[in-house]
Amino acid sequence: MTALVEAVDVVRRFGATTVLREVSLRVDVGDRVAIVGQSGSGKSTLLHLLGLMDRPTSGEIRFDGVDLAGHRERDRAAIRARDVGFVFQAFHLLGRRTVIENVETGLLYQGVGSRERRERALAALADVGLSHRIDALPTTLSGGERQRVAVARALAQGSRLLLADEPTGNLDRGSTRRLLDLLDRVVGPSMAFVVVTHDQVVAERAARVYRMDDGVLGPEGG
Amino acid sequence: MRARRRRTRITRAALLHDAWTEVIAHPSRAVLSSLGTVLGVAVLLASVGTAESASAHIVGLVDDLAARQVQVYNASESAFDRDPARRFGFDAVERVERIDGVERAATYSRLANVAIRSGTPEPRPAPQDAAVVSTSGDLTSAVGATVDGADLTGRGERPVAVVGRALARSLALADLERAPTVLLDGLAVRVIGVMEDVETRPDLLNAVVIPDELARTNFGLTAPSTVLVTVRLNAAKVVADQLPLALQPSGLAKFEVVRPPAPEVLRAGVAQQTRGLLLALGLLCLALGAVGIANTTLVSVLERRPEIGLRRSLGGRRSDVVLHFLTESAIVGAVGAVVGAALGVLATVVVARAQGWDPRIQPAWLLASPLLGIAVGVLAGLYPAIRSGTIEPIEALRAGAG
Repeated sequence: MTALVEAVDVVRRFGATTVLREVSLRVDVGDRVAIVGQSGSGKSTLLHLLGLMDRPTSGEIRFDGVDLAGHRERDRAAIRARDVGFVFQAFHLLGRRTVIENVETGLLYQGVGSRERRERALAALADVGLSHRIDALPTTLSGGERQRVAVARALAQGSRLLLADEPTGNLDRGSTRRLLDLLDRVVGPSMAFVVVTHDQVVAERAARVYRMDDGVLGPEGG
Repeated sequence: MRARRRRTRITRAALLHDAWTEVIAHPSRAVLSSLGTVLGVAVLLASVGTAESASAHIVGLVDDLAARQVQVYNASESAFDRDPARRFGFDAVERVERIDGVERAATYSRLANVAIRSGTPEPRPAPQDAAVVSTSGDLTSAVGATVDGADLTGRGERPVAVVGRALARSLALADLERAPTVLLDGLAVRVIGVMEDVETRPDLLNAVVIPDELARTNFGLTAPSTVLVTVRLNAAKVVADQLPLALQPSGLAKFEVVRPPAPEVLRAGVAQQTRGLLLALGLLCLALGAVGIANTTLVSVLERRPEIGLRRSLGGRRSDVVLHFLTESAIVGAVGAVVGAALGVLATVVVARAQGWDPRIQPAWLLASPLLGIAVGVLAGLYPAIRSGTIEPIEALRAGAG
């Protein structure tokens, strides 16, 4: 079976600094993968490569079996628009836009009409339990609610691959637990979930856990 | 299995809606960005409007006077041209007034080397620049003057004169009731009127005006040198074309006919003169407005790096981000231009009313304003927008929290 996304012998250098050293990782539909490691170990860089936000110095990033490392930006952008959802530690919501406008932003680059954007955004917000806050501004939400908006934005996109970079980094314990419960519920069997985290509580929810150590990826405890 | 390479592209409606929402979500930023355009377009339209109103007013005044005056200069008195078949004579006024479109006419000849003195017990010489002018016909009307006392119409060769107000003062002439006189080369001439408020020949204020017959018999005038013709509005060209033959049926005449430019040419000329400087000022303001948009947009691009990263992560291409910023600055430019146009019209009305003019502004300027604003916005936003496209998404996402 073809992997949904796969890194093969990926090396990433920034100038003289080698951040990833021949990293390989396969993620299939239905996978729940956690990557742990210290700050600066290269785990976020790997996540960005898997999400086609960056290009490897060498190696391959295969999506649906096709190496997209050397593909044109518009092809990679099209896949990001339809198949990849991001959840960031810093939420990355548009501060002056309402909750529903933020979720609709996730659909802008799919060429979807306004009515469909609104319907899909409402459905995603219902999934994350924020139907009652659609007209609120992000600044009036708690950290946990903001992260749920970010999850709703990725869900509305209909992404097959959900990538989360320290999603609980700005949340307290209660909010972390509620977000993880939400992710357990909304990440369906037709999706893959890759999370980069410091937090052992987050990693424990994953089926597979890897550790990144100075640009080298290996199994946790291995 | 191959990766799906479906093309995605933001729709135009979504782009416009997204950019508009972003603009109105940041009202203070939008106001700051558009301020320059508001000011530029306001000054531009106020300049154009004021210039048009002023020129319409000026042309209205000129239409009433200068645009209706045709002058004919007689051939020179050289041996060749002295031939009566080439010149017009003392019956010029009578001949000219037969032409359809002529309202009135008068001859005007300056007599050289005639000494002017006051006819007082102690004769006082006239200033150097004082002149003796001879005329027949209705000179008073032809030059738009008024005469206190009597004018020269029908005075024949009687030694009477009308004196300009300035000269009368210089010669310290007595009141008309006391029958003052002036001496022209020693010939006593009675002053029967004082000319003032001369609109087109201010030199007459410093002249002694006598009848042609008196000039012919006493001062050797052989023919009038000029005929001043007042015509109906818009009849100047037709009359001017007929004047040479009417004045000299021989067809051998060598007259110089000077007519005013056609009203529309005059109007355009005046409008151009008055508009030029103000238009330059308006364009300068608009350029400063563009710099304002460019500056604010550039700062905005740098501040919004996390948003740029987010848009790229959501599937936006470099070109989508560039287009987004361009659309925002075009919207800011268009809105600024509409507000500026309204202020420009208001300023035009206020200035025109204050001056007693009819406010005028071409509708084309109003229609063109939003387009001008869009053009300014796009030009000003071009560099910042291109800069936004060069920002790497990873770097942008690291730049801040949302």
